[in-house]
Amino acid sequence: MKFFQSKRKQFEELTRPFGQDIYRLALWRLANRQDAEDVVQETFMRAYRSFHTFQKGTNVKAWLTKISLNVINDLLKKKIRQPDTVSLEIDCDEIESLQSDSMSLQDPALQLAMNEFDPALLLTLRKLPISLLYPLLLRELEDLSYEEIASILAIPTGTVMSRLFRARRLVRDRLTEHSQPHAKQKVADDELQ
Amino acid sequence: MNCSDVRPLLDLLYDELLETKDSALVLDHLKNCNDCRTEWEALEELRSRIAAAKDNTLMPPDLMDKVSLSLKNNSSNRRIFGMLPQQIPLASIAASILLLGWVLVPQYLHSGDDRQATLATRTSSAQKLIADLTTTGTIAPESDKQELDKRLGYKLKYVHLPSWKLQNSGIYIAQANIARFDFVRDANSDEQLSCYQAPEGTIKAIGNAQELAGKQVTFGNQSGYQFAKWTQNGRDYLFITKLPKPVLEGIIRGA
Repeated sequence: MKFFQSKRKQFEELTRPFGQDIYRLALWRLANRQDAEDVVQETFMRAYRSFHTFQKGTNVKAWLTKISLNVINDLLKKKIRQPDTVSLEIDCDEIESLQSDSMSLQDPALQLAMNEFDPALLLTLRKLPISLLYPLLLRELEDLSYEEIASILAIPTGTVMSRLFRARRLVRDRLTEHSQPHAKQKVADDELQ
Repeated sequence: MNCSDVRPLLDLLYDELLETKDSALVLDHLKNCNDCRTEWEALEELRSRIAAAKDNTLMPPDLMDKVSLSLKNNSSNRRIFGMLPQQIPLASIAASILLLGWVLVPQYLHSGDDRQATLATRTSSAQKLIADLTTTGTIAPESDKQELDKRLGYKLKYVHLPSWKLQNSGIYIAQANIARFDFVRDANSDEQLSCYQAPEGTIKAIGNAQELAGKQVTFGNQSGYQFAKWTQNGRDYLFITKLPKPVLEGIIRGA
């Protein structure tokens, strides 16, 4: 029993500081507090179950983040029943965002979340293709390095750089567009074609 | 440096990944180029906007306590087999675990021929199991407890074996519902112990019955092996070892 207790203690000491990071990432991705809490729970459970595979001295946060993205994807698959659109495994340059405007606006939890932080920013992020959204969130929210993001998303570092470049400009353009509702359709949309 | 050189570098500057010399060149360009400066300011605005929103996404204060509780409950459930065998070698501590069995319910042994015939393919004897110990390929290895449960068709129950280390776990081939676990005393010892578990009524053993640590245990020996078989909580347990009977008795007392 001692062994299991000490193992759990060791796991918690190592991972607990990153609970907030996982929660924030999940909330920004899902815009639903309950879902974000579920993701944190499931992430830590999965991480604990595979703790024996974790190599000491490697990046705990990157390890947890990778697990959390899988949990988030599983949750999305379950919710929207479009499993092929959320896989991290594929080159998802062509992947469209999972959430449509109408879906977003009908979600009370999302509206609640939007009221708590920048609604325009949240809506803009939710419209990003997954391939651009994850690098952006991992960099801006989680302060992960290009190399860590590359490792988590299983893409080359150069791809991380190019996707960040595109994501930032797309978000910037769409935020500009959002603040100028009568402006002409931005070129930014073409970037998704 | 012209605009086409600078634009791709803005992100690197933004992420503080440019070397000092290059940063100076880009910043110098920004001073004199309105377009690039606008681009740069947009990036900075995006970052500050995200940073402001980021501060508003705080986790519920008790969430990690809930996580801890879940982990604790999970640990309790998995204390049995779940982390074997990877963890066991590390756990020079409380050792661990399990065992199994299902043997013949006594009344079946004495019932009519028809019933015995029906059970003939569902049971095995201590003597048969001992004979198989010296042959290879008699066990289908399976280290994952849940998978083992699934393949066996029942949930394994465990016993503690302090100071013993699990080497192998799996399904005893001759009877798919009998699990087998092989232990060694420690890394520097050749003392071995094979433990079987099966649903009650599966493992037959003929020998001398005696009460030990509250259990009705049948002891016997064959081919230099000592064995002990008992039934507990709906499971038959059979221990087989070359260690002397008093040592086997000690193991069962401590199990």
